[in-house]
Amino acid sequence: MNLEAKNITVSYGNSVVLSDATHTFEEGKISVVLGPNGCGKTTLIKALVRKFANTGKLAYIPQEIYGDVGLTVRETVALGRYDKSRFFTGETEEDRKHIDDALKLMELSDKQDRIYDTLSGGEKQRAMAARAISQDAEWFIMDEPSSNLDIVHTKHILDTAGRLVKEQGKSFIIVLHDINDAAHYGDEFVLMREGRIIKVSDTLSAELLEETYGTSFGEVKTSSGQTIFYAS
Amino acid sequence: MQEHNNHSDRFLIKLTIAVIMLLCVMAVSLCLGSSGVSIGDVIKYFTGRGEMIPKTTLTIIGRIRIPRTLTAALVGGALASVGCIMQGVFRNPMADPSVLGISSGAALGAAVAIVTGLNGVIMFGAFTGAYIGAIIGALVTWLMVFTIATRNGHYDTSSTLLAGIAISSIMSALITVLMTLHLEQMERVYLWMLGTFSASTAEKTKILVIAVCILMPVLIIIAPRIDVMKLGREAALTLGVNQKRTLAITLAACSALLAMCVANSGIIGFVGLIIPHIVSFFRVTRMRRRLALSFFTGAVFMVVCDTVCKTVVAPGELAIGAVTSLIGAPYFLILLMRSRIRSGKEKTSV
Amino acid sequence: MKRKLLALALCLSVAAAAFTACANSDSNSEESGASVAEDTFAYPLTLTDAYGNEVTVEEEPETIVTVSPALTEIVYALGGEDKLIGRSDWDDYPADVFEVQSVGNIDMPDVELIVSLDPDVVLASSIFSEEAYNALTDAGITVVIIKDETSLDGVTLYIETVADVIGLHEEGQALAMGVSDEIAEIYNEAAQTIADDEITVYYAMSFGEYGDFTAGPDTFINDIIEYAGCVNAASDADGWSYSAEQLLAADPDIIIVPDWGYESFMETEPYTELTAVQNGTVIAVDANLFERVGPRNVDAVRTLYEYALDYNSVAHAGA
Repeated sequence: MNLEAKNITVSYGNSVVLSDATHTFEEGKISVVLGPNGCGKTTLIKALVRKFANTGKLAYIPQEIYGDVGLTVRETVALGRYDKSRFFTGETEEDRKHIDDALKLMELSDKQDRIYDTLSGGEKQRAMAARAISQDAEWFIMDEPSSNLDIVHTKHILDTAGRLVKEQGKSFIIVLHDINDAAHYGDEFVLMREGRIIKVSDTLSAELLEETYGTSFGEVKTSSGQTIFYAS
Repeated sequence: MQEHNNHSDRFLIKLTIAVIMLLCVMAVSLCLGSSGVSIGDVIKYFTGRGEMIPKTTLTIIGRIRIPRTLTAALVGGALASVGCIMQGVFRNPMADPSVLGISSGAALGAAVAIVTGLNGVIMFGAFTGAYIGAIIGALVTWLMVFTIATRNGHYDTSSTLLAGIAISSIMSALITVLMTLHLEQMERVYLWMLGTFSASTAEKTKILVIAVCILMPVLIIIAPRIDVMKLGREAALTLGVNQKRTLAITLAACSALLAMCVANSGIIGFVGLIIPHIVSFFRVTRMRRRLALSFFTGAVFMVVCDTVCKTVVAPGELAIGAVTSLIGAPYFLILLMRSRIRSGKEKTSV
Repeated sequence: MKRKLLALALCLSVAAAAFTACANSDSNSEESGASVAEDTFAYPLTLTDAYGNEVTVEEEPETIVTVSPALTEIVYALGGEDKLIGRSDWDDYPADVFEVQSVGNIDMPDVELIVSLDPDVVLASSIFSEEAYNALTDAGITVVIIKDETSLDGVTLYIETVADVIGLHEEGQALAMGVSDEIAEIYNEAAQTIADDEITVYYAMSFGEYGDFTAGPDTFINDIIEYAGCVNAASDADGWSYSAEQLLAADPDIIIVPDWGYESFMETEPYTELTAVQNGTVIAVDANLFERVGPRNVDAVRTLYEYALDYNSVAHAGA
């Protein structure tokens, strides 16, 4: 299933935050949404979520959640199984397997009985990722899922995304702030600026980045052939 | 796997204890009162040997003590449940039933009835004007809060909270104005609002039982959705939970419960705020379980407090609102201190 | 949809406001207290109580509970204390009343206790809460709410109603007649002696930080003052409310202050500016004589009249 955005416009009061966004996100790959602060990335993906949420095939991780959760880590991850359960069935074997696997994947098995709110910022993000994984959905839409993660955990979560695409045919739309993470893991790049999608490309270049961010960039090729971008 | 079965078992144990405690305190409460009704008489009443008891005693047990104890249990349970829901929905440990503004609106309705002399009009032979006024007041207030909170088509927690708090202030202010404009009635309004279970009758209690039996299951069924809503509006949507619809049903049910509570026994604070925290101390996290345990814990607490109210200075009565705070707060502080010690607050030594 | 909800809410609020407004204008046109059959007196007795409900007392009550000091006093004055098995916590006259079981407060007594005493009739005052009324009638107890009186003439009706309810009709008639005769006597004498001098009297029900309250023109304390041949200084009062300013402007000849407040009244600003305070024409009285409806109101009238007579002769002597 592809996710199609067609002429989406969102405004708050008098200011237009997203104008006429149109793009078909194809299944089976990692699409990265890039752009400076306030360019409408979160608005775009939230609009996508609202449009396709009732297909039951979407898992969404927002940038942050507000307020006390008050549940244990395991129970928080288990929320991802909510729409699969009915009133009296409680947790099934299948549910349990998905939850345990998600916890293991995000390396939270030893913390699963702690209260979510007592976790560090990075641990909370991993818990949210585990929750999304437990949903066993086709699509993952994630808003800056690694903002609080250290370099090891960032690599881990994005590697996991890549694996899920290759091994299980899942699809990802990820908003990332780190350009090099984006470049390394993304299959497709949706570049936004001032509420518009300005370019969609399969590869990143310094010129594209300049057009998007409005500042000059340089590139460096490493010995293993990887390209590193930097703002100059 | 084993561990999580243990969690369920542990919860069921806690729930069972709460239910048994409720039955016990209710039994004790039924045996206590300012008249000389003996425990033997109470036992005879319940074991079907009603003919062996004097008629006055029958009336006392059946039309005074049972309604009163039952009302205290139901109101205590309802208030604690609404408080539990409030803290979950607004994700704020300081939330309590009053943030909806419904209690103040109900009190205003009752005050209007008292002040206009409509209170004497006893409807259907069983309900005073103040009772009906409280329910109408709650309805009007709920309409106002709902309308304000859902303009723009969004129904979210922050706009509801703000609307509720603002309207609560307006209602309370109107009550004060009403009282000062009708000084002769001021004492009556004030005493009505202070809250008491001594006005319980069999008719009012029957209605209360029906209301609770309808509304509590609604809340129990919808409770897990409140946990899902904590993930945020969009994420909840992906899990099939519509925030607007869930909020509408939840808050409507809570408002109806509050209307019944205030109509029956005035404004009683503290219970809705503290009981959910006590339930937290017992390590119950998921909303459906918290709700169930809050209900029974709240019921136990209220019956205990009401028993104290009616016996300590008989034939006078203590104010229930004061007793709930005086008994509840110290117990809460003890639990708080014990939990801090257990969780080993870190000490920095210089 | 939302507009309709808001409109509905507004309509209900307006309706409530309209009720309040109507009720305000109604409260001035009062019904006279309970109405009783004229000359032929018999049970079952049906009367309209202060709530407007019809209450029937089937037969002469053997046992009664009174939940108001005024009603209790009247029962004793009628000689009906043998029937009394319960009284309010606030009852204090006559001293015998302390032997009787207390049932709690005047507005919200202990319902269970009353039911256990199983009285034939409960007599209560207007201040009795509807909730308590509801709970008692629900338990099968007959409750008669006797409406408060706002005129001294009404006191006789008050006494007669109580007497009729408890089955002491003749005693009631006699007591009522005795009360009104005595008052008439004092009034007639006052007409000859002091009425022309228009002595102004102020009843300081409450003062200072508790707020200024007095007996306005349509209260029975006002009648007490007038039957004693004097003039109510607070004739411009609205109900029971007054203000220190108005009091100073009125500057009454005599001031009546309840026992408990006498000393502080004499020393509190701005009352110290009053002529009566400076001249010492302030009487300390047992507030119950003046504020509690009943046969002892006669004593109140007499006390005031005799003091005013005295005051008058001093004033004339000084002139």
